[in-house]
Amino acid sequence: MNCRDAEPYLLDPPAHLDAAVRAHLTTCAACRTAQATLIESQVLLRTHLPVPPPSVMRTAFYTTLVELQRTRKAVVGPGRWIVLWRSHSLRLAFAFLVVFALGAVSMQILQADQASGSEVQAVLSQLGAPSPATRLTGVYTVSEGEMTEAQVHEALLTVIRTDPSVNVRVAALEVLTAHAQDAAVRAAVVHVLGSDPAPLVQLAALRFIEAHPSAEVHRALDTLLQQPDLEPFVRAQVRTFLTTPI
Amino acid sequence: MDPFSDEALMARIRQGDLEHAGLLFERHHGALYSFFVHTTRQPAVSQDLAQDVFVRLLTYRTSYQLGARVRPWLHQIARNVLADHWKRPGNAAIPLDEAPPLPSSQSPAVELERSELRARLDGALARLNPDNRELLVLSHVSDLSYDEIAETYGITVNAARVRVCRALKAFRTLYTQHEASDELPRR
Ligand SMILES: [Zn+2]
Repeated sequence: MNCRDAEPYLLDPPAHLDAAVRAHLTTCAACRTAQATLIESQVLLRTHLPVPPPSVMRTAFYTTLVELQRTRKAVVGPGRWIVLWRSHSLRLAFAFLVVFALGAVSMQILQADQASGSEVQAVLSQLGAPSPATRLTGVYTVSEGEMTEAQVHEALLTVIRTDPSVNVRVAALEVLTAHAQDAAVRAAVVHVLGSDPAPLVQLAALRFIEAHPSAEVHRALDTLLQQPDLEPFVRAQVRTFLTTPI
Repeated sequence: MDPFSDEALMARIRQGDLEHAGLLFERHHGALYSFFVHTTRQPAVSQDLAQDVFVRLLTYRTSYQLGARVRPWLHQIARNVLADHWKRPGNAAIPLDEAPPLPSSQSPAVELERSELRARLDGALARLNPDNRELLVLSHVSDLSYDEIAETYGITVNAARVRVCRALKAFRTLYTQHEASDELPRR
């Protein structure tokens, strides 16, 4: 094998050329240098190319998914969903703008702004509605309105423990991340982590506790690892977490 | 078959069990977002494009061939989404000197230290031809194997291997040129 033949295979040669490439490398300093340079480039790219996705993507995706599940029974063509998504993303963007503007104005008017009694009632009724889409809207309303009322909190804890929709439970866990300093919230999330059968919910609970590690959390994770049917992806995440010191 | 493999989940989604799409989203949305950020250099647009991939996955779920690997299929969808994006009037690539700096996965302190390195890397990547850039992102961010790249592009595994190696070499040349130009004395 000469340099020209070896060049395309300096990284991960196929099995049938492996021995020939290795043999060439032992005798050719130029190809060894080229190989080292390519490996260094790979490390640079792997370290620097990944870009963290914004969390709003998750909100938009789960909103779309729940909406899709809700309306799925209607007979529609594929184009309709794309229109639905686009209009939905517009609605979402608009809702964020409105909430942001309202938030800015109300912060100026009133420092520790509390949601009015009727807003709290409206959210509580959304969180208990039969439609998952309405319950999801309720969860995001709590988040967007930064509602801190005890009743709302309690309702979200009920959602993560008992809501039949995986997506609503995931959304509620994410909203509760803002309240992780509350011991009751942490305890509820640890309970969910060890008892919820849905891998997606387990992952959301893991994201929550990653930000707030503690000895009780480590114990709950050890228990989780003993479940034989634990989803491998979740198992790997738990292991990674457990190898990180508190 | 692992009941939570991408393929098993996709088989259930295909049957209408849409709830399982959440797990696929969790596994792949980061890589897809990075793919679009590096190919368009527009983070806001990239969010929409990555979402579009999942909307198409749900919409066209019945076109998924049972047993086919999901990652190449998802990246084929991503390439179609990107191609459709460039076809729409007004959507053109942003020249490098007008592009905003890309978001980083590093902490602010580390980021400050590495900002110069990042600028050099971004510069070299942006000057790379779009096909090579796409290949490098697929192989180094999405972490597609040569097998999966071959399936995504409909080429042989050997061709995938050779193309990735050439793309990496082209990148290295641009990166080194940039490095050398930085070291020239400034007037
Ligand atoms: Zn050689």
